[in-house]
Order: sequence, then C-alpha cells, then structure tokens
Amino acid sequence: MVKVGSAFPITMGIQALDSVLIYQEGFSALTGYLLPLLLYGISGLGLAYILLMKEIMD
Amino acid sequence: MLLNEKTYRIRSLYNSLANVAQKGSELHEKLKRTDIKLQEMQELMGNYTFEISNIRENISNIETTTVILDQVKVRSAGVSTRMDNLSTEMTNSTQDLISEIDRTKGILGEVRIKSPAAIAAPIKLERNPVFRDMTYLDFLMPAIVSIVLMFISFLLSSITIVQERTKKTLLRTLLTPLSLEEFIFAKTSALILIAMLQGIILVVVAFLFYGVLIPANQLGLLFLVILVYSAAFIGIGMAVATFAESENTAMLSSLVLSIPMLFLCGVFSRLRLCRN
Repeated sequence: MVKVGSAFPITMGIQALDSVLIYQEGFSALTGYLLPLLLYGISGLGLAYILLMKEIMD
Repeated sequence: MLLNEKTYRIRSLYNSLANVAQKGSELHEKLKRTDIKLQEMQELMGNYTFEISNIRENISNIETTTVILDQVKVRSAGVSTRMDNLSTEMTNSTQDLISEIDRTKGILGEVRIKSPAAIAAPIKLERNPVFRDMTYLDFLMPAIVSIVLMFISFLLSSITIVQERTKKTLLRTLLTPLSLEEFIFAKTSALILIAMLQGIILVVVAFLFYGVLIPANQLGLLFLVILVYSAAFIGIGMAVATFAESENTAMLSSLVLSIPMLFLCGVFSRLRLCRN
C-alpha cells in the first residue's frame, strides 16, 4: 500500500514541496519527483490528444 | 689249569658284563632323570615364553601409556598457556576495576560537594531543534498546497474539456486554422497559469494570515514544482474528460480518482512510518 501510495502524483508533489519548503534542498533533489510528474502529465495529455483526435475523426 | 684260566676269564667277563649291565642300568636311570629334567625344562621354557609374552604386552601397554602421557603433557602445556593468559587478563581486569572504583570514588566525592539539586537531577537535557523557527503550519503547508492544486487542476481541466465537447465548441474551434495540438497546448497553458495564480494566492495568504514565510531563494523552485505538478494533474484530468459524457460524470470521475489518492498519499497518516 505504501508503494502504491508513493507512486501517485499527489505523493510526489507533496514530497517535492516538502523538500523545497521544509528541507530547503536544491534542484538536484527535486528531479526524482519532477520527472515522474512530467511523465504523468505528458502521458495524460497524449492520451487526451489521441482520444480527442479519434472523436473528431469519427 | 686252562679250565681254571678260562673259568676265571669267564668269571671276569661275567663280572665285566655285570658291571656293564649295572652301568647300563645306571645310565638308563640317568637318561630317565635327564628326560624328566628335560621335561621340567620344557615346562619351565613354556612358562618363560608365557611370561615373556606377558612382558611384551606390558611393554606395549607401557608404550601406549607413554604416548598418552605425551599427549597429556602437550595438552597440559596448552592449558597452562591459557591459564597464564587468563591470569594476565584477570590481572588487567582487576587493575581496570580498581581504577574504575577509584574513579567512581572520585566522582562520588565530587557529587558530595555539589548541591542537592544537581544530585536530584544529574542529567541535563538540552534541546537542539533540527528545524529552527518552524511551526506546525510550516509542515502543513506542502500538503495544503498540493491538495488545493490537485483539485483545482483536476476538476478544472476535466470540466472544461467536457464542456468543450458537449457544447460542440471544440469542433467549431477546430474548424478554424487552430490544430488540436495547439488547442491542447493553449488549454494546458491557461490552466497552468490559473494553478500558478492559485499558488501565489496560497503563498500570500499563508504569509499574511498565518505568518508562514517562504525563503526567497526557494520561491523559484516552489513555482517550478507547482508548474510541473499542476501540468501532471491537468494531463490526467484531460484524459479523464475524454471518457466522460457530461460535466457531472467528469467531476465524479475526478473525485473517484483523487480522493483515494488523497488518502493514500500520506497526508492524514504517515504510511511511510507504518510497519511492513
């Protein structure tokens, strides 16, 4: 359950904000959280693009 | 005369024969005695042979015992070495113990000199906080920002896309030279801008009303995280919106996805600290 929870984008966002606001770490500490978040965003936008394109073509 | 001579000779021969017979019988007796003595000697030889074999067995036993004694000697030498080491260690330990007792005596002497308050509370606790000048709100701030941004980005993106689809404005927009990629880019940019504005409002409210001050050197990274985080949820929201038929469905779908994430993200219960 902990592994599933840590794979969610909200958990990564909270951890990224923790490292920025509480631990005050630099950019290198954030890349581990930002890259999966970017992957989530790109995959979501890509899926939306494919489905919208299919809907328009139909 | 001749007869007398012959008779005399015969008598002397007879006497000689008698002597020979007597001597023969004596010899025979001597031989018998010699046989008896030989038999006795044979018995003695047999006894001596038996005793010699016994002596050999005894000698082999003695040799075995000697070997065992050698081994015992070697072992006893090892044991004596160990005993020497042990005695040396015991001596050292005793000296250490004596020095510790002397030191304790000294400490006890010092304690007698000290005040009763120092004796009553001999341990001093000094607090050395890891996060200086940080309140509970400082630790709540990341969770509040992320929850607000998640709901705003998720709901706004899904509802706007569904609205565009249901009101057929998406088709009308795409009849213009605008492509679908540009449309999605524009929508995403607008929603990211809204999320950034939300982030700014949150930071300002946290500072003005709750006194939560974010260091100036961390503001750039904070808005970078807000940008990427809101982009992720806008993307997921748009993907959810393409499956929904109405705004209500999109909103409920967003809630069905976001609320379990909210409970599993570790805001309400620190799942990382749970056992297993």
